[in-house]
Amino acid sequence: MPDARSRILQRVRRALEGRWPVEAPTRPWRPAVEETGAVARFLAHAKASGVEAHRFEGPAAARNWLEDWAAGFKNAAVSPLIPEALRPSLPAAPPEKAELGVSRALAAVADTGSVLLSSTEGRRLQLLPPAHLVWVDESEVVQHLGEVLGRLADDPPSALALHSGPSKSADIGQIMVQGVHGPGRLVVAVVRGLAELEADPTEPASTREAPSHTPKTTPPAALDWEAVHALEDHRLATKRGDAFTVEKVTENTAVVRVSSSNKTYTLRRRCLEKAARLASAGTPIPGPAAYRKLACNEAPAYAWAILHTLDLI
Amino acid sequence: MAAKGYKAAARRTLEHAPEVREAVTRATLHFDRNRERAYGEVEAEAWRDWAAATKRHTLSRLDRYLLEAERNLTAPGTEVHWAEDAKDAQRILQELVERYGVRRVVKGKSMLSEELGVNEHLERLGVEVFETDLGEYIIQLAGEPPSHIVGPAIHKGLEEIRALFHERLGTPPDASPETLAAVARRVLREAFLTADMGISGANFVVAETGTVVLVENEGNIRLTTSTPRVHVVFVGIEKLLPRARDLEVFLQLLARAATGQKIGTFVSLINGPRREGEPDGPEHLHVIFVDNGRTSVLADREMHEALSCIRCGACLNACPVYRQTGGHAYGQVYSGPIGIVLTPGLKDPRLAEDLGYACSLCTACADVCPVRIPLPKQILTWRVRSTKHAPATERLAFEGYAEVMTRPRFYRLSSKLLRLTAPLTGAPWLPVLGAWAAGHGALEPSPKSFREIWEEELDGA
Amino acid sequence: MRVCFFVTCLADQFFAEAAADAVRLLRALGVEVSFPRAQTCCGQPAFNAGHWDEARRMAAHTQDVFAGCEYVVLPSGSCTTMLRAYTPRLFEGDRHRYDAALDLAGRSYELVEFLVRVLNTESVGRGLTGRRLAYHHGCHVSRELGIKEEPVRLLEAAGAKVVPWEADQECCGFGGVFSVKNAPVSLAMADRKLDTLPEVDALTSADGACLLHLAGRAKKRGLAVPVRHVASLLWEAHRGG
Repeated sequence: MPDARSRILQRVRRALEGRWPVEAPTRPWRPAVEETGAVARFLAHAKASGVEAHRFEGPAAARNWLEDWAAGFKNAAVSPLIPEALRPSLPAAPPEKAELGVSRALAAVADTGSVLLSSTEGRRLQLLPPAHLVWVDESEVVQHLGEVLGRLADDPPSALALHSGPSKSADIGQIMVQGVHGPGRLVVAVVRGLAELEADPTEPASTREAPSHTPKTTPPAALDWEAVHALEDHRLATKRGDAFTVEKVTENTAVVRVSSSNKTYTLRRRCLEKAARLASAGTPIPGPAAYRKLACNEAPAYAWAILHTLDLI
Repeated sequence: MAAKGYKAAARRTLEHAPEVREAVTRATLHFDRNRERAYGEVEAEAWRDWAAATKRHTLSRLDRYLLEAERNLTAPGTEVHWAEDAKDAQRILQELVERYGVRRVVKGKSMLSEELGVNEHLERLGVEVFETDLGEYIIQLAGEPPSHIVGPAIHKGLEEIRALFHERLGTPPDASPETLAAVARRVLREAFLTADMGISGANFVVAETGTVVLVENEGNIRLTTSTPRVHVVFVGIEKLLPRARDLEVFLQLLARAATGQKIGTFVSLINGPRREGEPDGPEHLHVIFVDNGRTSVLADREMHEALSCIRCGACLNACPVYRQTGGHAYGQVYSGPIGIVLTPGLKDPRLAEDLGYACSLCTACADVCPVRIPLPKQILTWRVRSTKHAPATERLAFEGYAEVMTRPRFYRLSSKLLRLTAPLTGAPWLPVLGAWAAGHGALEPSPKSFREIWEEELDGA
Repeated sequence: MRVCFFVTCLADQFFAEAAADAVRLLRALGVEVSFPRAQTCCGQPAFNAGHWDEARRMAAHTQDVFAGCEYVVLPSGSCTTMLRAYTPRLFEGDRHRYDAALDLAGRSYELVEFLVRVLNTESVGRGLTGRRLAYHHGCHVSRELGIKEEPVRLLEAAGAKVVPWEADQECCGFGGVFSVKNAPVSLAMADRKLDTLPEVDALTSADGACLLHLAGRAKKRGLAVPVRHVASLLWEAHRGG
């Protein structure tokens, strides 16, 4: 006897029989681009939705602010992904007891004023404390929602979430109340150089200099971008053996196309360079998981394969 | 027993609960104005075209996308089930309750779970159920079903909710909304931390990635899907989207249409059960694909577009008929324009004989629907299908009307008759006009018809 | 320019003077107006009630009556919508009638629409100076025909002030068969319109049915709401200046 599944599918097929298939829209949908940069636009949109949004020129400035700001809390549940310098000096507490949850966002989206959070750091600390502080690296703020949705196709964690404001409800007589179930305060701090701080274990835990005034001294790139350019149109394989092609290399990105699914992924030069730098300094990057952890959470399988092909790791 | 159906219930509501009209009108006008502003900020017309086309495409290949979704859901360890109807769904849920020894359930708002009678079934099984959306919690306390897709308790004003909380939870009779919300938060926080199972619906399921997408403002759905060790998702088979990229439009359009926000405050993108190394999250994830009449709607060439619905509630907010009574008068899970169109298709075509006329055909709904469902056209189609069961008097009236109106001489005669009889009887020359007189006073024809004026004064002038 | 005047059954019986004013106005603007005697009803009441067999008979009759007209002008937005948007749907299975329906749709205009879009009238006169008016946007006129600004522009060009009204775009609750089948809801909708109506010299609209409904309701409730069809106001505007 056919089961519910086959009976439902059968009915769907019968319903569609003889019906002209409707094509998906061919013209890709384009969001409106506003004149301002992604970070300014993100901050404006987030603030409009009730987010307490801040921007810092460097980890030191962020740290300064954090010391004062966090003094108002008794304890905190802090994501393991947060570098030492940006962990509040508060006693640790489990999320259900903590007054403050601290997260590291994967990205922020200007269109909607959202931060993208991952279950890798734990979900309860994002939801149970009445206040939620989210750190995000300035370079991870993007204009459009579509730019972060690719992560769903890229071996995602069990849950990603977009948070775009404090928890709220107007279910009681249309009167807006905050902090109904989730955090009643969402604080987002955009920090320049946060990702570098995470990648560089030698940086002092709580630095007091003002790096915004001192010219940045980037160590010489261990990655020759010309070598990546040279890979254009080359067919490579991931560590697992999935074939892909380096389709296009621009000034700041490399686009790869996966042969089996025909999907494309964009790899950022900054991430590849970071991984190469770490490797040249002796950090082992044995596979995509390590690349993801040390460099970037975007298409690590393909990024790792490129660096491996170039004998950099 | 009170008379059934929309007609009787609407009359009762207006006569005996005038405060509902006031609360619903205020709330829906508020939603609708926010929607209008939010549409105005973007190229809403192009967004709507795009979204409508994407939905129509998805439905036209639904079998393929269902299989793709199933494959991608299963890969990371999610268990997929299929339910043909409410009984099927209840049986699957019962198996899961028994398998995991569930005693306590927290629920995120889900209209599908209302269709399936999930709460009643769980209670029969001795399982404690907590609706966790604040509005849903309010109506659960009151023992009522939701009256609106997005704002389940919009038919209740602050005073009524105060009285309810005072009686059930012991809050002061004049407690502020903040106090009431804080009390609900305390009760439900305890439930989140002790429940064995979380049950949610789904706004979208992405076939390409096997992602369950949920949108909300309170955070209760994130908690429902994160804190208990088992998460069960009920999802209608029409909720699929082909690609993750499609969410870019749908997440923003849904929020703008529903409440005028840029995006729901919390969007959950769930890809599977808790992974190794993650500190928390449910160990078991079950997705139940539910038909419950949807394949019948899909097979209906004049109604299938209604399956594009993304449950934003914009058509309810725009509907002047809905505003007078709220959703309960419709007596069904789905109310307002989309309810009129979907309910007869999902349940029983004969429901259209009553529901089909809960509409003035003003077409305001068509103007706002984010996926361009031709709601007024479909409501009228239900009327056309219903006329074969219309009362004999109605059919005779329209036949007689057509007889008169296709014979100019009869028409002129009727025109004279109208002027002779109207002052005496309130113009009962058509039965319908008698009913009219009760609410409007007698119809007063012009002293002379235009035809007479033309002949006496305008012809040849 | 020659037009056939389709008075519509409702205006013929209940807004006869307004319909006559429409003819007077058209003639004053130099339009030659004729009145095909065999005309009756466009069929909309039956169409909206779902009785399409009957609606088809009336629509076919209407097609035949207006077959030779260059323009058909109606003092009723709702009936214009019937000719323009709905009648073709009745004949989807009948090629000949369907083509005829599209042909008639292309020639039919609501009165104000005809004045503004065909005659390019910017003002009919200044005879409404100082008058405060509320304009009800009938659903069919505004949403199906897209005539929103035109009537307001003509009234204001005549010197009237069309005052803001929060419910001016909302349905009055008439809806044909709806007002009979769900009378209490229909009346509650009219009440919402009347309860929000600002202090005005007249409530006007391009749709007689809506006005009939609102005026009847106002009278039943003992409210003094002077109701004028837009055709009468425009004729007055013309005569007065």
